[in-house]
Amino acid sequence: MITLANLNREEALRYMGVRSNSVDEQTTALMDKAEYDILKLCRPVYTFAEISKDSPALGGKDIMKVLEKSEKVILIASTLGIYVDKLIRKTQVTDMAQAFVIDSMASVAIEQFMDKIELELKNIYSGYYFTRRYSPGYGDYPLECQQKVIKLLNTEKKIGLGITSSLMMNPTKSVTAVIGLNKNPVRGAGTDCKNKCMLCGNTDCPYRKKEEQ
Amino acid sequence: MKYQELLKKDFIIYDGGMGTMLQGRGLEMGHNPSVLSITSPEIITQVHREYVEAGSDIIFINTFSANRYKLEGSSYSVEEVVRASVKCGREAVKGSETLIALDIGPIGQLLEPNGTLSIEEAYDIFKEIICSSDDYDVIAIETMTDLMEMKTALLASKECSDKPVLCTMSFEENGRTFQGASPEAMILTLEGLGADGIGLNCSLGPDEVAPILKTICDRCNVPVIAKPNAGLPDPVTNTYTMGAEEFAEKLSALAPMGVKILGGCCGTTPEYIRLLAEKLKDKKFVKNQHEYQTAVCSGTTVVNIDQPRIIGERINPTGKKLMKQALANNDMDYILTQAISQTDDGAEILDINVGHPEIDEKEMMIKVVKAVQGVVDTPLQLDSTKPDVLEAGLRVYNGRAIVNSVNGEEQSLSTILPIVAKYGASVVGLTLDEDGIPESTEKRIEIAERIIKRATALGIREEDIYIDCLTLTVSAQQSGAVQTLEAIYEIKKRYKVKTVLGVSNISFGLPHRPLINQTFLTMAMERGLDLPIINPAVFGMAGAVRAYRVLHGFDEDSRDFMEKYSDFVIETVSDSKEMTLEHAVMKGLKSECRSITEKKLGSGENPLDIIDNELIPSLDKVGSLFEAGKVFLPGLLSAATAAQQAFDVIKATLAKTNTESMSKGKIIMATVKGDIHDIGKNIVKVLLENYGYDVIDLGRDVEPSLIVETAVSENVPLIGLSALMTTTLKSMEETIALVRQTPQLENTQVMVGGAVLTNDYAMKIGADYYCKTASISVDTAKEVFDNL
Repeated sequence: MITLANLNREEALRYMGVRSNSVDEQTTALMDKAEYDILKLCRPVYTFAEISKDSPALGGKDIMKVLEKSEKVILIASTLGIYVDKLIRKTQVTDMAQAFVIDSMASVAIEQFMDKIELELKNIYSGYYFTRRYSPGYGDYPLECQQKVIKLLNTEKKIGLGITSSLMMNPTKSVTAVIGLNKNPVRGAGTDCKNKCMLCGNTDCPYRKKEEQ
Repeated sequence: MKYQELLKKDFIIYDGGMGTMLQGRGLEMGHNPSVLSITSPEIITQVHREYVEAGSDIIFINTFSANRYKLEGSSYSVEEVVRASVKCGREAVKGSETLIALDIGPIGQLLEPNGTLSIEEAYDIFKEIICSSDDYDVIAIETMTDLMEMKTALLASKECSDKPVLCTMSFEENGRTFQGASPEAMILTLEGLGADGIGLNCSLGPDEVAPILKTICDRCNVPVIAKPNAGLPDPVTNTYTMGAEEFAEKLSALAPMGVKILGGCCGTTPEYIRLLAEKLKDKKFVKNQHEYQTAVCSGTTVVNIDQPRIIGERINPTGKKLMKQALANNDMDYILTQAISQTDDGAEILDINVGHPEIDEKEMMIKVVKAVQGVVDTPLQLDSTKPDVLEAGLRVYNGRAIVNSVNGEEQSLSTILPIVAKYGASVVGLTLDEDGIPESTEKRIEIAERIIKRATALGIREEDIYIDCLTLTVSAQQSGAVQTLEAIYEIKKRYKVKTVLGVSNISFGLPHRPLINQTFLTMAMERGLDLPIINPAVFGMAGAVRAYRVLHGFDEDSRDFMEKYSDFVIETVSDSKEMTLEHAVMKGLKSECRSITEKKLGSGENPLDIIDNELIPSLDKVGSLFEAGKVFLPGLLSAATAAQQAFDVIKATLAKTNTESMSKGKIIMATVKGDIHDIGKNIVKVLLENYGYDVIDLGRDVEPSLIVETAVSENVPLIGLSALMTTTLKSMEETIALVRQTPQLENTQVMVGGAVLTNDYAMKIGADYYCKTASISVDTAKEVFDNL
């Protein structure tokens, strides 16, 4: 079972729009509390399945480029569970600053969880090289595919993850992603790019990381 | 054969997996398998028949996914699919004694508050399935993870059919469902509603379900059901690994805990069932003997009434001006804040009373129950004298509630008790009747006895009746206190009931009331009071209960007491004389903001001056630092949250004097239809409130029509809309279009914001203002209201 030990604050600060060299005491205190509560309440679970490249859960040209040379394609869904959602809901009533920080740090937590899942999968599929994770909504991978991903993985039953008709995942702190597995190291499929924001066409995004030097 | 006759057998055998069998026949994942009852009835009938031959006493017909939502996009109606499935089932059991069960699975959409599906719509969806046919023998609701959804399905079953209902939920290895329900909460809730069998199915194998099943057997008073998977699936291939022999051996070995109904779920086939039936053939059913434990629960939390438990009294408008205002203004946040702070202070159950002449009490009860259970885990006590209000609250309540209250009057007994019985609630019985509150102990016991007789005649357990012996004001009637205590003692001695008491009335008219209250509370607990109704924020009251638990050995190793009071300092005299309000706001110091403001008001400063000359300028300062990139969003929000404390103090003062209003105007805020992520909207709301605007918060997933109706009826000049995702921008556009079509809103402005919005897009969909950041919405509001 995967557990999270601590949360990446650097990344959380980026979500919160805080420059990491200007963190004050207040924000640090809010982050300490958020981290404690999230780690206590999250129940990270995931499920995955191998799918074929012509699966209806995939879509768009970008992803086909990523998966071009992949022998296997894996579809993953993960969630932090309902308690974190309830914590955010509750905290919004009493302390909006705290709620905002929890929300941001929970987003970080689910990504860190995905990183750990990837490590676990690398054990199961040893000998394969992994492409970058790609999720519905990235590039031209239609968000509409989310529904098919959820259905195909039967996430509602397996990990308690559902989706609304407006394509919002529920619990909200959840991620689905596709990874290609290649026998040979691949270039170009996102694996050699350290900054994943550079792969995305949404150049206006407030969370976009700066280009690397 | 009827289900009642089937019960005479030692064990009832269910069938095994349907999905497993269909997959083996080449059904693709992702299609709705219930449709196969129409398209390939012979396959379905064949699978059923194999189970009948294997020894199943009840088979589940192929209706697991036959609901309106899951059939969307197929060309068949719910009724067609249900009827076709019934036909397959009837065909398969022909010539046997086997019964067929209408199988009801989860809808596939999360219910409020986690999701957007309303409880009322969920009820309709279940009702449609149940009413599609009546040619089935029992109803089996299975694989549920949300207790509210399970309860709603059970309620629909009981109201729309007279068939026995067998309920199973799916638990994870931590002993809870994905939605947080525990086996105990499941039992308390479903037993009360009249479930004919309760247990678990799916998600785990016989090994993993054993401890959970034990918990169920040790508490459940109706037949227990176990329908696990063939072990855990292999993570890569997703196939189940436990063989039929091992499954049958392990599952049948669990029967002696008190399991009555057994079968298999995912990965099991007729072979598993045949072996299971064989192994159970020579075994005898063992009834699990256990004591009845009085308890109430929410969807996730069970409170056993085995020691004094605190009921929080604060959500009740009687004598509380701010609560009255909140109810009249639909201010859910105030009510929720009361709910959260009471649980933080130690309330284990919350009383909910929303009776107020200016509002529709029934609508408000529904709204408050839904909202409160969305943010706290404590069970609720629904408090009203009106049967329809109580029933409305009970229908949407997730768990087993307490009804407050019934009394000895005929009118009350005949209208309240049937509702309590139907919904399986616990009930508070007040020892008063047509003649008022009796003075003598004996007379109170008489009334209690009347209530107990009438309640138990309707099937309500004596243990689930909580008698309130009523507190009289000791300064007016000195012997009253002793009479109350005596009545508690006698009633506890004679009956299995529990007792409840509102305590603080005792001290009216006396100085140092807390002294009297705390002493009386302690005396009452010693005489057998189980449920004091108090304000848990008062140190001496919650403290007396905690101390009592230590002294009577309920609080093991004084753990709870130590945790609560080790670092607790009574009445902190904060050293805030050096600190200015501005400093406290800028640094986000909440309690300092509160105490400085209290001090200022105490020394006679004008509340509105404090707002205009200190709070607003401080907030402006933080706002400009934010714009300049020197303070970031957490800092801005901390300041806002701290200032809120100051505003709360001022609001309370203004409510008392009832003279001035501090509102600068009304603004509607809403997260648009389809969107459930509302943190952005809430951030803006906090800032706007700080600047003195009256924010009408319509919440998330809001219908355009509701926004327009509210804007018209409240005459609102500015509407703020938020959307998180590209998929919900459509609703934003529709909402704006509807505003523009409404002549009364000719002059109403619309500001929009959200992560995926741009200025161009905002203008394209017809917004007046695009607010890239939360603080820009404050500037926008200023501009709009200055130009009025």
